[in-house]
Amino acid sequence: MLRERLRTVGVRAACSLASSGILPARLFFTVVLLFLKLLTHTALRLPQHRLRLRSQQSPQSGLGESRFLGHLLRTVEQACRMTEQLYTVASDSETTGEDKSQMSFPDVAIGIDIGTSNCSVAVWTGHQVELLKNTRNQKGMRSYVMFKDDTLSAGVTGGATQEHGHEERDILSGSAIFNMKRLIGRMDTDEVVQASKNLPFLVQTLGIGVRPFIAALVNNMWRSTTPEEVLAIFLLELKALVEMHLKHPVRNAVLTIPVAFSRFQQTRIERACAMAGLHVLRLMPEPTSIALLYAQQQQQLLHDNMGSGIEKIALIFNMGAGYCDAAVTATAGGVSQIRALSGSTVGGEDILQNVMHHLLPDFDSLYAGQTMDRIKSIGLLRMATQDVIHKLATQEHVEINVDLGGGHKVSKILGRGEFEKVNQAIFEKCEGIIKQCLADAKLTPEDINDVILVGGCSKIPKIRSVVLGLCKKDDSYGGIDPLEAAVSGAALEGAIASGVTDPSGSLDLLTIQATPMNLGIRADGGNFAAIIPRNTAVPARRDMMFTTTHDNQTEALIAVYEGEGKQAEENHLLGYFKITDITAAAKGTVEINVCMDIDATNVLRVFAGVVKPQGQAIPPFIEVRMPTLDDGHGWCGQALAKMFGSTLDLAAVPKKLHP
Amino acid sequence: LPGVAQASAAYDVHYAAARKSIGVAGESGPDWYAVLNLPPARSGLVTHDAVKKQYRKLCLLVHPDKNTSAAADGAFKLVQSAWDVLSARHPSTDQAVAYSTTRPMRPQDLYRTKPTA
Repeated sequence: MLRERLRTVGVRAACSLASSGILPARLFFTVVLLFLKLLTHTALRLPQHRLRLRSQQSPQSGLGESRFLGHLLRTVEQACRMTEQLYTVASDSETTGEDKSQMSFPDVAIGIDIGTSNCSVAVWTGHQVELLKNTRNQKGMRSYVMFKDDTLSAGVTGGATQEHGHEERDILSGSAIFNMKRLIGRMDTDEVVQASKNLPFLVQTLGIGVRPFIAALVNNMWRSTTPEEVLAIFLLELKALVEMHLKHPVRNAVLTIPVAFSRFQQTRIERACAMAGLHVLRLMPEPTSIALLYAQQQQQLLHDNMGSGIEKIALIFNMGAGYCDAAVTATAGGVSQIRALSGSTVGGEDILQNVMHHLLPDFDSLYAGQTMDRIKSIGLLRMATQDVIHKLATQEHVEINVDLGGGHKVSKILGRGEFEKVNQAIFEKCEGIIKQCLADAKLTPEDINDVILVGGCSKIPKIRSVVLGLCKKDDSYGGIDPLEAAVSGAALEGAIASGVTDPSGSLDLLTIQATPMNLGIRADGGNFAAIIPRNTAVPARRDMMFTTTHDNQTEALIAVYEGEGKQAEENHLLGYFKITDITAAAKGTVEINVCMDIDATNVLRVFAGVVKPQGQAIPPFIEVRMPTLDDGHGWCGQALAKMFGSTLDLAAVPKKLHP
Repeated sequence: LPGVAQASAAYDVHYAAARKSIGVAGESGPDWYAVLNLPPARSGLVTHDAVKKQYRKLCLLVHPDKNTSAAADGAFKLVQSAWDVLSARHPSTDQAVAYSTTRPMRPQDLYRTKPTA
């Protein structure tokens, strides 16, 4: 057996060597692979055997039997490890690291859902997903970090106090930073940042497109911090919690993010994770992690002979405190393909702000300065409003009586109709997101089999009726917990992407991700030419031809944008670079190829270079990993326009029809 | 030795895409039918459901989440391109009706999936 495995390994090493770039070797592969396939059958038997043993061992409880099995398992595992080591020596190429993590169980990535208001963490335990609880027995932990003299404490362990009411009051005292997810990676011109100025901690803006200044109150002083730092502190505490539960170090994580997150914001999340010592294996848009969970449930039904095996189409609507996303997914045979994604930055926080302004119409003028009184009053109002919104989910009318101090009082009875009228704009926005999603997926409401409603705001009756009304359904899909779905899906993806296989087949799943936004470059004046259109399946590679706009133009600027706007400036600038030494020629004769590539880990690379005229003098292609911009990207586009005007512009070449 | 079956599937896809299409009139680029391991177009056996089934099967094998080999990424892109081309060429029955009633097929529908790599 061992000798056989070694032979396989030798062939495999040759294979991966050749695959690292030499294309003409393809024919050679197939010969090699035929050989390989023959060998595989014998080689694969060993690890499969081991897995079967493990699965048998875990659920049962008979002690003597388990000891015997445990012994057997150890022997088999030792044998496996021996061959694994030999294998590692034989081919020290790209696959060794990943294969190792496949073999040793502890490297399974954990799933984390950092919500605007609540956060949860889950892990694949070998046969199912388990949500971890903190010391206070909570699965959903408040997302905040409390700043006190020298100590920092995050919401994971419950901060300073044990009782819920006190915790909430402490969070709103000015010493805690929360809503990180809404602030991270945003410029101070962003309207979400502007709206965050009502929060009890300090959010200072200059309005010039740089990061906002954020500070927490410590001993009557504002101590500055950044959203990344706050998130990192939180994640560090979360990581400690997981390591305490699992009793081994954790390195990899899958995090869920809103669809509306720009690539720049994604890099901020990655940075926060790096600060906390976590490696981000995947960043999953929230609805796609729910789609994965749905695919697993459908697959389960099929195993129990209850499902039909026909393709099922589900609309997922997720609305939390900070963001709102929708997705259409087509599921069959454990493969869930994301047909369309759309999202926006409306969420429960906006509803809360609207209701606060409604309850106290002169809110802004009353609380203009950031004084201690103001922080206290806003905190009281926030708590009362949150309570009202929660109660309105089940009651028709709610009475509010709150003394804000300084002679201000709010006494009112708020009806559900009034609440819905105040938030009309938000509900309309939700409607727009779903309509766009259905249109992008080229589907009508009749095509939808299931409507999945998740997120804290899915409890609001109006949201339910809007979504179900648009999809022409009477009720939503019931098998999914609205608050735990995203994190469970992330943990599933963590197990899948870590290469875990399950003998019972419950991990034979796959979500094919899609790009949430158009990716392209500036061309034809200030226009935006999308190279990878939104909702393209990832990994993806697309290219497009461009040409010069001036005679004898020798340089061209490639400015990469992401977004939905027709004009480049309406979108997020991700980065830019110049193509130089273009052969001087009449405008429109040079052909420049710009290619965009997204790999499975969602890394975007842009390749660009001259393809016509060909010759010896052509400079090599340029490969750039995006985003290249680090901070203050708000004014980069303007600076570029000011510096170069249209001298480095490109024009898109219409696609030639194939013969 | 885990993942060999997946790796070989990925290399098979690359191999199929590298062969020039033979005998299909007026077509350049890879033979997408071969990429998806489907019978040739002229056989008349190819239906929308067959394309879809084969596409799903290959996705489970070559998607980089499921396949740690270096060839997985490229193979998935090829399978995806094949799906884009062939699902447009063999629309499902109700899709075909929808297209004919709403709008005619535009050239970019067909050619936005130009072969890559």
